[in-house]
Amino acid sequence: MDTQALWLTLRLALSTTALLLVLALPLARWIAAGTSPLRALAQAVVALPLVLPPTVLGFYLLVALGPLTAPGRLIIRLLGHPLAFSFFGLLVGSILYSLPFAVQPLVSGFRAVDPALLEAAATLGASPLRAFRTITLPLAKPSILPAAVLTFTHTVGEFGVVLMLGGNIPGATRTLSIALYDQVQDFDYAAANRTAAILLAFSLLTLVAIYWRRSERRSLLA
Amino acid sequence: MPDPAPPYLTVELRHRIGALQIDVNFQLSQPWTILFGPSGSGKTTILRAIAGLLRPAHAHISADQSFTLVDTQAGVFLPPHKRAIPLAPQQPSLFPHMTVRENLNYGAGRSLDANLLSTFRIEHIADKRPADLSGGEAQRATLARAIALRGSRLLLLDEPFTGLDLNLRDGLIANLLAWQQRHHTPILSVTHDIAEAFQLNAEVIKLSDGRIIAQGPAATVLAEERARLLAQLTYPAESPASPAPAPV
Repeated sequence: MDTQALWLTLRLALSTTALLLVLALPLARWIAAGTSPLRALAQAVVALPLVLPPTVLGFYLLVALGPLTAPGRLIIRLLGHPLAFSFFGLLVGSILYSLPFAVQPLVSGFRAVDPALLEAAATLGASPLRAFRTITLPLAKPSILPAAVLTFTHTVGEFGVVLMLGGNIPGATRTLSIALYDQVQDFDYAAANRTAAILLAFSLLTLVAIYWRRSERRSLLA
Repeated sequence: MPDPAPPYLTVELRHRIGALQIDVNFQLSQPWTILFGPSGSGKTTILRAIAGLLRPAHAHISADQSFTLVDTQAGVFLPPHKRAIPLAPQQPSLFPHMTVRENLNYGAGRSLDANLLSTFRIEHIADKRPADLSGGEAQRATLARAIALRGSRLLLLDEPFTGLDLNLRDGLIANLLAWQQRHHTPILSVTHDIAEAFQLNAEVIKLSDGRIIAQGPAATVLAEERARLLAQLTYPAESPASPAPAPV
């Protein structure tokens, strides 16, 4: 088994999940707080990776982070090398690609919080930030775990964006899904079988954990 | 004759909610004032505008004559968390993930008055979550939470006693009046219950279709409603054949 690819995949998935939650919490809060056309546009952009072929997103990121664009040139000047074909480039791609999996459960969770509770908190002197921290977040907690787990598993299984943006550099951008592709290309079906089994078992176990937790909560509330 | 107390709240408000056009102009100077009127006359909307929970179309609302809460012409709108005007809504809105005591502590911080629990007869449920409370208990806890806020400028109560049994209501009113005498926080409450208005011996602002039609002591402003109620209560015993003439 390609343990280097396994550790790289786990590192990428963990980093993506942590950073994405930090980004997604305020973004989801802003989207959930109103119904303006700007919010609808933001939600549509966030949902794009759900319908867009991953290779399209990967291609645009490859161009955007390369020397052809001003941000790309700035990054090259700051880091000394382009973001593409590096772990951090992969991280940027993963964050964008998994954005809907983190933001959408959070938006649903935040919208489910009764606005009367937030009004009560405000008249009791709570600033919007305190009300978010003490009322919205604890009440939307059941949606935070699925957001994290879905982001993590989705990143573990990502292929198109990784291939376009990261290529196939062992230890830097060669994740499990790329390793599986390579193994099949090399007709090493035994190794491919093991890699595929790991990815399948991982995805299935996390989904079972989410659904089991949900049904457990439902039976507690009943 | 002593000078009348200076107003602690001045309200000029014009706002449309659905088909109802609210157009009111009043000052509060008595310790307890009641907004009295039928359902849909704009009482709750006025409370929400004072609390800062809605942005009125045209308004000038100021507290203590100089502290502006809203001035739509000058583009001033003080957010609700900076007003120190708690509102106890008609529907209990306790935070479901906190106990009753934690709910009360939310606005009170560490300075929660332990007597509040007994004033509202909620000592026995202080450590319970809202899901485990009866409707009346949740209503009393919501009321206590609003009152517990530190340094409140004014207390807004939206039909605070609706749904409570009469004995409990009478006890709560007595306790609230005693609490107010100790803390001197003015109260503006909403009701359509004549008995409640008389029991509180408060100043009454009578509303109809979003407009004020009278303001003054309950005995004057609600004289007509009182007479009608008394007639309804006495008619079957005194004259079964014909209704008693309405007293003038």
